[in-house]
Amino acid sequence: MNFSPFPFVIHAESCLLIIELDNINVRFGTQKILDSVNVRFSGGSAGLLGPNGAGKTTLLNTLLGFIEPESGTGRVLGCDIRKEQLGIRQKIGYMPENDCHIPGMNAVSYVAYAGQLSGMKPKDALRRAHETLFYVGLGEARYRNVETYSAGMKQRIKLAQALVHDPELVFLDEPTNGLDPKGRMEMLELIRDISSTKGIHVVLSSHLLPDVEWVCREAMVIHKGRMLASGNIEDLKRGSGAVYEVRLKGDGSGFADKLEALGCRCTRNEDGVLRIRMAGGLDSRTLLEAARDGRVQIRHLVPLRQSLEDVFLQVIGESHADS
Amino acid sequence: MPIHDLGYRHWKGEWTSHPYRWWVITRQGIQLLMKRRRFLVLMILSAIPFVVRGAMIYFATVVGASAPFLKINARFFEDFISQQMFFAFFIAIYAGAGLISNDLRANALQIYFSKPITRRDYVIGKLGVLVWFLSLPTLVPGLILFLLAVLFAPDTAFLREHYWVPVSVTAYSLVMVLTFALVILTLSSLTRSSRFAGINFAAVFFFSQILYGILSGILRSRRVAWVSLGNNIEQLGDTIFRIDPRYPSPVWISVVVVLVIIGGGAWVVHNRVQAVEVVR
Repeated sequence: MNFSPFPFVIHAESCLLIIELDNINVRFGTQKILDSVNVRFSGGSAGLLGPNGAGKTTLLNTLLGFIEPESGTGRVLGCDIRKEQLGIRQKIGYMPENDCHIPGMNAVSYVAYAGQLSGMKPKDALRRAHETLFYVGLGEARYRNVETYSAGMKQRIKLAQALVHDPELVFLDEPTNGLDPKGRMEMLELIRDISSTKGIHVVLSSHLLPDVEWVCREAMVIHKGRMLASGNIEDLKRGSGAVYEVRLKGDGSGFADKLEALGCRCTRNEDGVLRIRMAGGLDSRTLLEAARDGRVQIRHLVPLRQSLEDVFLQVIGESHADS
Repeated sequence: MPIHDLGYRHWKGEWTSHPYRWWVITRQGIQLLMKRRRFLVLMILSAIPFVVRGAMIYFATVVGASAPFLKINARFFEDFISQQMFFAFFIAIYAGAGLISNDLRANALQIYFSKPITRRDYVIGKLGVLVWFLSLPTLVPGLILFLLAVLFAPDTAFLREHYWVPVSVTAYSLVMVLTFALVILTLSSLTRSSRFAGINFAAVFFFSQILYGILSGILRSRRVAWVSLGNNIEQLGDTIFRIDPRYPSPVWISVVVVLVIIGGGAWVVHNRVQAVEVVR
């Protein structure tokens, strides 16, 4: 997938970072939920990736000041996460993962109320509520009680309440949960529009890798409370090494052994096709040399395009191997 | 608005100052309750004793009727507020039972606390709703009745003798309002069901009264009146209005009980209200 560059993104390290976390540790009782987490997010859109229970929501809750870290320091939009929580919440929007609303209200009242809670005057909040509801596609249903909304509409209204006060940064926690394929694509398009044309920084927490790959420029991979990798998605894909699909005539075990000795990773699927992840600096010539030395015949050699899923699985796999 | 403007636009308006953020919650709570017809009926019913007392003041001062029950003195105002405890009880249940429990049920606290709102703002905001609606049948008509009594009085003698009554009306009303408000808010914060919170409030009120009845029967003494929530409020009312306490139990015990209920309730509510529930 190709992404157009984001004109508003701040690339320089010297500029103000949107999110900056240093050695954040969070413990619930005896269990360590976040383990020395470091984050540098300079803006644009970032995906917070990890399997269920990895610590994504806890990290978001820490950034919002809902949970006080045991140790470590952090700043969001220049505000200290320990001391300036109200300052952070003034500037950010948050779309929680679970179903949540303020009972007894229709959509306009609810979103306007969210605006007033953020500090908008009632008149401004009401006007913004209408605009925001149209933007998220709930314009026609804005006078309906929120409790009668479908799952997809509830996701949209959660997004609307997060956007009503025009935040600089939004945290979206599993925004496509419970959506059908069409609804999911519409939600992802909205999020992409927010980050690419509206100039709002987005942190998207998800365990759905295609969602992150579709919307985000950067990714942070978290697993068992540890930040395993972070950076530009394209860089992460490149950094994980080239992958080739190879079919050989014959067994070819010597071929695989030789490549593994060089640091490559070889996996064979049910059809006997080898999937080889090259070690850093090695390319297809190494494969040809290994074939020549092992006296095997290559019948099929195709470079595979790396997906975020490959990167994710590799990073998680390495983490398991380390532990 | 033109159709091309129905998209997302940046907002460059003014922010309200934070110290009044709790008022947003109070105002919203008041507006939501005012939309309920049954609640409005209850509020209107609670105004009937006020109308009756107003008529009594009129007859006692303007017409000059001299029946003993038409004597306008401190007890007259104290009786009025004590009488309003009946309506305050139902208003507290109707307005207060769902104030926090409904937010817990709908996971609304995450929404509240993702905005620049502190737990204190939230609790004060919710308390404000109850203080508003519980003051309407107690404090507000109590003060208006005093004003009527002053206005209808033929001379200033009444005012000179009873100038302290507005302070007593305010104090007694606040004792009742805050006690009821914090008990129902506490119960509301402990459950996701508004119905359950309401039933518990009634149970606390009646159980304490029944317990008093049982204990006073066993001990053959009314000195245990302080075990009843309603008795404590009435006992304090008597003291505030400089009337002989109706129960022989020490007034200081009632003061302590009410303070513990108010303080403990505020502490429980403040601690129950969290953006995320962390299981440690």
